[in-house]
Amino acid sequence: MREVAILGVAMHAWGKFPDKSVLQMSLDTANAALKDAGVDWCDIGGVGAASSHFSGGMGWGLSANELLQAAAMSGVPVFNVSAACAAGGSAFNAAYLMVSSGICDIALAVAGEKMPKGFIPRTPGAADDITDLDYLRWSVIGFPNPGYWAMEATRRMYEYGTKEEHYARVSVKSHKIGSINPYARYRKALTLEEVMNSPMVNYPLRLFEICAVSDGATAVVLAADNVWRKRTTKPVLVAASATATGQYGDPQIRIPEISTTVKPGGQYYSEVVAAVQKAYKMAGIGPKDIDFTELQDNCSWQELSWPELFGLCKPGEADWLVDHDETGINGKMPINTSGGFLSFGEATTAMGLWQLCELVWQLRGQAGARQLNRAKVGLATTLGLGGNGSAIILKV
Amino acid sequence: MDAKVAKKVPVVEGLFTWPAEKPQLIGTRCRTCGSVFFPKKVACNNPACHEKKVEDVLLGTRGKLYSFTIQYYPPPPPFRYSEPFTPYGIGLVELPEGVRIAGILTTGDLNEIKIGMDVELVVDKLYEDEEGNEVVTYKFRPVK
Ligand SMILES: [Zn+2]
Repeated sequence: MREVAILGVAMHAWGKFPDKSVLQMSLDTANAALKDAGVDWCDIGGVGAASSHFSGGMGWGLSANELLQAAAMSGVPVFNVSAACAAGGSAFNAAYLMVSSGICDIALAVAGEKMPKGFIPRTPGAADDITDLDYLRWSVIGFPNPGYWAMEATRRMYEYGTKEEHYARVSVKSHKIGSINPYARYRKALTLEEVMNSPMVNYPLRLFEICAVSDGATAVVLAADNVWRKRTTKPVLVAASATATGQYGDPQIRIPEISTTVKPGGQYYSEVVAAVQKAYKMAGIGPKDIDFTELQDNCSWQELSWPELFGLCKPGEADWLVDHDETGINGKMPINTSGGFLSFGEATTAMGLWQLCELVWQLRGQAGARQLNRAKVGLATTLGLGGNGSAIILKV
Repeated sequence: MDAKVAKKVPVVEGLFTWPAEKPQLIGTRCRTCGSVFFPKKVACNNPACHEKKVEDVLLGTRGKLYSFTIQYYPPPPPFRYSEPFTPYGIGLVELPEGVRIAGILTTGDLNEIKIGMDVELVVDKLYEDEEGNEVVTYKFRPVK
């Protein structure tokens, strides 16, 4: 395997862009990433693209083909990757595998997403019967996505004594960082009182503790050592890129299932935990070596639970760390120094690559007001519908 | 049938036995490893099981509340409910077969919902359809 570095990254503005197509957003962002990398379309030898997005498009997900047909019909191989909210991480993984294995020297990973208004609709064409879990969870129970996360959040309160205020404090921390991130969609700091007074959505989670949905696009340019060694002496290296799927016996209640078959020793949140463990092994490091982490805060609960699952702190310890602002920019376990999904809104399949922009900017020392004192090794993880997990470790 | 008594129609076929005096959830059991799944599955997903033969199984009707949430806003279609919307509990109920099942809690006083409490399966009204039928789903009710 060749040593791979990230040459360039770019992030589209985050928000609602009704007058701009997802292709235009992706193209603008890919062009910006190429510029950041100092390469041209003719240098790109392969493309990994997140394909499972809501805007449909050619063949319901031939995103890389659409992009190349718009910008550069160079004939290079592509991977259109479907992994729901983990698709950005998977698209990166596909591009990483092409470069590290020698299929090409420079690859582009790209993801663009335009979210539907309001609730995420059911997959078209599915049957209204017991074979469609999405139909069941809505029609039989009325069980929306935040309800699933809330189910885990309530259990955490029972097991560790976590209070509703802890979930609120995560939101306060994230919005505080969001207020100083020029890329964030929501740039207003919130007080604990404001979060606690926001409407209860799914007990114990309140409106300001759950991420909104946004349109967004991100792109990353990767290169093999024969390329990056000629260009830089300070590369941002890919220490690990791993994906995993859900395991038998995992006790999580996984969207859109209406049950979970639990077995002794079954790994909780197995798809994302297994991806992280694979990434540690691949990078030859442990959780103690991670300086900062971007993780999928669909709601506040993940910021408490997942650092513990990743071994970044002890089980049950995250509440104390949040109480003492140790997950903030000046803390000993910084989580979501971008401001997280809470400050951006989730552009589902784009988020895996979106996280890498924050990692790269921190590692390069380009994170402005949110720059960490120490940023040598960063971890980014996503979880997607259907039991998809991704974990990427970047280092300088 | 008494014309005044509304016909009770299951919200979806094949999820629970109906009509039945004591309704039960219909799941799948692996004939090799004994794992139980709900609703019915085409195979056992235990990677150690090479023989994927499964059979229908009726699940026990008593369990313990493992966790819960309270649904404070009306979920979108295809969920239907009787107006006006009132917040309701959704429980994750642990059955002795080793499966945890999500379902609506019948509890009227939401403060009474407690992790660890004993619950039992009931079939109860979800909404009334255009023909005047009572559309029913499975729910969990606290055992006094
Ligand atoms: Zn089996």
